[in-house]
Amino acid sequence: MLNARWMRRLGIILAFTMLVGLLAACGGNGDSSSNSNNTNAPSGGTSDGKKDATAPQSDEALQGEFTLWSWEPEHPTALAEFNKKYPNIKMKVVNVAAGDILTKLQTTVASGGELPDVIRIERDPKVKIFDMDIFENLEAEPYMADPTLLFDFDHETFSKDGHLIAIPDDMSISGIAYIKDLTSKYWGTDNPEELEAMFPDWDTLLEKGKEVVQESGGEVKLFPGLGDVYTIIRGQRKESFFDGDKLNTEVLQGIITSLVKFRDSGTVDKLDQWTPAWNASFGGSNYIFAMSPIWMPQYVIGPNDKADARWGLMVPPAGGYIKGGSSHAIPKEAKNKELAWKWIEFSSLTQEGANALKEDGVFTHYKRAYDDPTFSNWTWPNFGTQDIGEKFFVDIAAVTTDVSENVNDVVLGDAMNIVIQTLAKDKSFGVEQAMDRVKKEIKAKEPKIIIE
Amino acid sequence: MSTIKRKWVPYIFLSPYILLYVTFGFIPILFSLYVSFTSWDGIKDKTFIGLDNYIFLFNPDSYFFKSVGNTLLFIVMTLPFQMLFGLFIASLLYSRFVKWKGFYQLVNFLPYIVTPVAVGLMFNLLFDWQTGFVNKVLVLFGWVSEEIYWLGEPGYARFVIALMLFWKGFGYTMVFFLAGLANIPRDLYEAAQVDGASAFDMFLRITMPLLKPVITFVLITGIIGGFQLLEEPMLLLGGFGGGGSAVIGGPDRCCLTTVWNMYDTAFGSTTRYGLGSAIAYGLCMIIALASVTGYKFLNRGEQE
Repeated sequence: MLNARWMRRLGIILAFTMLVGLLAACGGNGDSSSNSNNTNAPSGGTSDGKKDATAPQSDEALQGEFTLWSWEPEHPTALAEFNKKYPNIKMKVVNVAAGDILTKLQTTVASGGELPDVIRIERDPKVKIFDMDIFENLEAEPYMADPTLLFDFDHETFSKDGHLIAIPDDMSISGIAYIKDLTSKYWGTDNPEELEAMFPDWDTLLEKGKEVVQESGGEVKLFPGLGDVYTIIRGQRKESFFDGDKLNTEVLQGIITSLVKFRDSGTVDKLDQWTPAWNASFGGSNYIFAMSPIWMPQYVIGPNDKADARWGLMVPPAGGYIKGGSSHAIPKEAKNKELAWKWIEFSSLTQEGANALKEDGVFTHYKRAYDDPTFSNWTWPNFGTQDIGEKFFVDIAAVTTDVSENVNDVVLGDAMNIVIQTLAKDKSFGVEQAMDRVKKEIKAKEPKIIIE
Repeated sequence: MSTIKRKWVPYIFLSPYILLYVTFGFIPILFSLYVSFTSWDGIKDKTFIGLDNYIFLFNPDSYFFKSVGNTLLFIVMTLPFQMLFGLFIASLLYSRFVKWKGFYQLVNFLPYIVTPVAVGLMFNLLFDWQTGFVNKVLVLFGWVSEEIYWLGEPGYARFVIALMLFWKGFGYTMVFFLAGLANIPRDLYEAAQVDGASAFDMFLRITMPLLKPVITFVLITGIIGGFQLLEEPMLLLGGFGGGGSAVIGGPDRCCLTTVWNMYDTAFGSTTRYGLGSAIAYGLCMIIALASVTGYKFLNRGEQE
């Protein structure tokens, strides 16, 4: 009898223990994340990181740890330099895939979970993340970020309600790359300045492109796909697609008209961007041009084309554009804002940070760094001896603009993907049909958007 | 007194599961029902909008019924073939004609345990327009004059997805049919043989009726699984280069499944949690309806 009673009690205790264990396992926070790692832990650092963000302190007096969500390790040279300056600040990187940052943020905010101290944000989901209205005004106390330290085209892009809420990290200025053998063969020169003078606008380029297609029997075209053309001309637009929730149909129609013109000229092939065939095209000689954001030589052209000095870089007809890049932002609910800001300020808004980033293969948005002409000197094997750094930061930067975007641009982006695919495969699909399709897609996805 | 106490003990032992289910199953189900009556982006305050989200599902601009139609089409294009082929392979493996049964069982079952990511990537590479193996072979043998845009044309894209699902899924049905066949007493076949029944007669009059519970199970789980289709088409058509230029739902949204539509609405190109929840509940109703219909259809004889 006694045994039976004890067995029951033991059972209850065991079940209770299991319950507590289960609930404890369900709890926890980001600090215990298994895929996080501490970076460059200095001696003497504490982990509580609680600081008065308003009190100015010496570099060494600042101590603690801040958490960063990012999909890649932070720039190692810049981090080493940062740790020399701030030996008592630790950075904890929590690995979150670039495409998952938005979802993780949404679920964390919705569940009342703990946000990190700083988040790296890629350009594509940027507008949706900015729309969440969860980031600090970096122009206010205690940050007092000076927008004039950045390029003019950065201001609109990284601002919300008229003030900066993120600081851009890596450059995303873009031109067009060309295969020198092909331009020499068909146009008699591979000199970028001569080509720029030859093609002041897209119409001139299209006319010349038609001759190339004819001369090569269709073997050589200007671009691998309409997606590449869209990336460039979309980036060159002078006005936003949306004014609040109202679609600027004139701007959109202008771009679609250009796309149809490119398609009808027969100078653009049908490769979808980021597919194996598209990647492989950089090693071939079928397309004269490629869109070329500043990261393209290193991450796309280089890995797909093993030959040296085959490419040149030029200013696109109608000017430069912005594609890609990432930025850092501090959530309002962050606990260690001051420590996080120190990293952003050092890496993105100082000359020391700019020099260190360059060693890591990244160009800063810190404008003053480019006052020294030698800072932007940069060559890349695929481009031979051409100083593509100078081309990007002097010639292309001078004719580059950017416009603000809002959350509706994401909906439009998806609609445009389907329009571009349809344009490429159906020659009877014209401007009117494309506009109708965009309107239909937008209505299905976001009925609040006003289309007139 | 002791009896009453004893009655509580099983519940205490069951409580970890019950607690987990209530926390991570039941409460979220109720919460998403509530969310489906609101307009909510996960960040700002929820606004109660009544049945608006459900009404929007019936709006001609909405992709809900198109996505349901796409999903149904995939089920119709794959499930019958998966079941027929699975039954055929299972019957072969169960017969005395095949040696190395374990090996063939494994070979046929392997596609089912391949992760959807690998399957999507593999078929993407096979059917790539310019570099894909399939087009290379077709052009090499002169069966087509120019490469087929497999993943860019609605008809072809649907065919590739159906092929992929068939390849991945028939091993699963085969395993259940093998288990069902093993449960049929040998005596029945021996008695039928003595009575002079042909192999076809035995299959039709002994195997099929006795496999009915297995067929019902495979059909119902197949329909439910079919309606939950997401990863394979998304990975096949959603692009894997990270460039963001892939069309959601494939060419002309021809492969937009209901779950993909829900995912894209709530977590993809828009963050309309309310509408996403309404799509999920709509899908739940359709799955329930399809399952009941399938069950009734298979058991219609018994009811009469």
